[in-house]
Amino acid sequence: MGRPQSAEVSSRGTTRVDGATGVEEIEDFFGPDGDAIAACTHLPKGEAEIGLVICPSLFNEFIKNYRRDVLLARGLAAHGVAVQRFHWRGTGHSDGDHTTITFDTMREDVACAATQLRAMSGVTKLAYLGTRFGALPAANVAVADGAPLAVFEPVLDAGGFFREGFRAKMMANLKTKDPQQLTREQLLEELTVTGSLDVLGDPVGRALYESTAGRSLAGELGDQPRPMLLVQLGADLELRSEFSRAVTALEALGFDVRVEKVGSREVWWFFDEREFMGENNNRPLGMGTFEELAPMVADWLAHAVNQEVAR
Amino acid sequence: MSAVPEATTAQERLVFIRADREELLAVYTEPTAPSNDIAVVLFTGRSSVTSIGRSRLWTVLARRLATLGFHSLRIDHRGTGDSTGTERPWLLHAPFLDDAEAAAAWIREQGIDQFVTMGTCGGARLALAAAQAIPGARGAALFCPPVRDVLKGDSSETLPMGEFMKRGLSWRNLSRMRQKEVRQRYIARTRRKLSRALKDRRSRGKGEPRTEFAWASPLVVSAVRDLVERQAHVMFLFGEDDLYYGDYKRALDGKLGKVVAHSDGLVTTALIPDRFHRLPALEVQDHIWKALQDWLPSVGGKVSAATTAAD
Repeated sequence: MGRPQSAEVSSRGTTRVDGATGVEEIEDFFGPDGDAIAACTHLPKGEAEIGLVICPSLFNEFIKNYRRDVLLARGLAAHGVAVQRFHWRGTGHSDGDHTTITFDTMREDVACAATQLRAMSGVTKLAYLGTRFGALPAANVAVADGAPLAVFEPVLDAGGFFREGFRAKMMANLKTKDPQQLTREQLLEELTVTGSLDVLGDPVGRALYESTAGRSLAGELGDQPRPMLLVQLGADLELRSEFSRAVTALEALGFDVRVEKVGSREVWWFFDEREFMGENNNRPLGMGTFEELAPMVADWLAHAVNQEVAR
Repeated sequence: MSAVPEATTAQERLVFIRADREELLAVYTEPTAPSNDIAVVLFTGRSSVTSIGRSRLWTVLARRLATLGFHSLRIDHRGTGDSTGTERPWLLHAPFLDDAEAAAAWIREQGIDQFVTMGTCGGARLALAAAQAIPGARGAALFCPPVRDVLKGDSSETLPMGEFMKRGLSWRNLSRMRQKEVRQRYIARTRRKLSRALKDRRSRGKGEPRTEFAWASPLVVSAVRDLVERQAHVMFLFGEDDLYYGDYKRALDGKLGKVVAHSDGLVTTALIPDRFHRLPALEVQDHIWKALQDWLPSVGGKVSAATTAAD
């Protein structure tokens, strides 16, 4: 069946069909002029029963993980899942800039992406996937939508995410013997006064920082159980303690949590070109693993979307 | 004089460009000021998604260039971003000219046959090679280009032994030797360097010709020479403390310097403070934009005299 007849591609968009899998990719902008979101819809050949909205992270992590999200989406579509990817407003090819990003705009972007996916694919069963910081707005909308949630290496609390970034900035300044060795308090003051703080090449806006203060994955999920998939990325063989505690707490509330561990080398806040190099300058490290994840995620989705979830 | 607004997604189109058997995702931005019939093609160095640029530089720049009447195209090389294919090894002496040629061919199909190339780091080498190879180039703006041919992670090993030792024994490097990882890397690099030196000596012993070290790749020299002969403009932009600027200054003592000296002002150098990669994102964008506003009128076309909203 593919794309419903009513689903149109705008004059600013384009499509392609993969010769091997028959998956259609629709690249387009949606939303009002000046406030539009750049997005890609991946439609399986034939009718899709399940849809997934992929919510990326922010800053260097958005760039770092980009191709992996593309490969995962393609893999999932080849397994019959309709997938919606997008760039947050203020990032990538979307409209806006970093000063306009807030938790509310991110939440709206996820909800709009879900609407777009429904319109382009006709699916009624939807799930959400958030990577790193994207897990927080994904969780918020999944709860509102009564949907299952997958989280890849999720940020468990927003404050911790930014503290990590500030620490990375301070470490980088130390290494380069920057004469301006600012403390965390001074960095926050700069953010408050100027409205923006550069963290290793990415501007963090005050509006985002303030609007996400106090937000956590547990807080966004609340106590209404739903199927969840947690994917840990990294070299650890065991589930890290912070994830182990989070899973235990969720299961105590009745959440059905599946856990997967994926071996990869991650240095999240830093832009490290070595991460784009394999041996002898070959394929980027960890890239192949995301293609391999598609069957596992598709399998989880097939079970998850059929479970009753309270709103 | 009223400000010309920057472009938004309303002036942009997402397109797939055929390159051999692959399809490259690209974003085409139309001008918001009267068109000068020139397209700017933007190339990033190695990244998971090359059409956005580090810290969103290309998205920001494309939308600002629109205020001066330029069309622009930012592409995902094959194997990156939303393009098809597998990423290829990034080699400075063999940049992805085929992707650049496909981009230029697409631009010609839009009725534009004059263009300017721009690139950062490795992408700057591609920008230079593309300007040389593809008819219609009026200029190339190169942001922090490596003028030597080096493999990623190998930049010091191809240096003459004296320079290699000097850099290795610099205070900056010695101060980092406390870190085990740095020490191990340094030892491995020194071993490879000595092995290379021994191999070179054996080759010379067999009567094979010696490869003379040059601070500027012959490819860079010939490309700049060709562009000068065609009356095209070249701008090199560096941070004052960039290692690549140090290489460039050394290169000016050699063949590249002769080309620049006889270029009659067609080849210029712009400097920004500190290191290109270390500067805050917004600061880098502003420095580049200022340098471009000074340089672009020399490229020709009908550059709009209207002030921009970005100023």
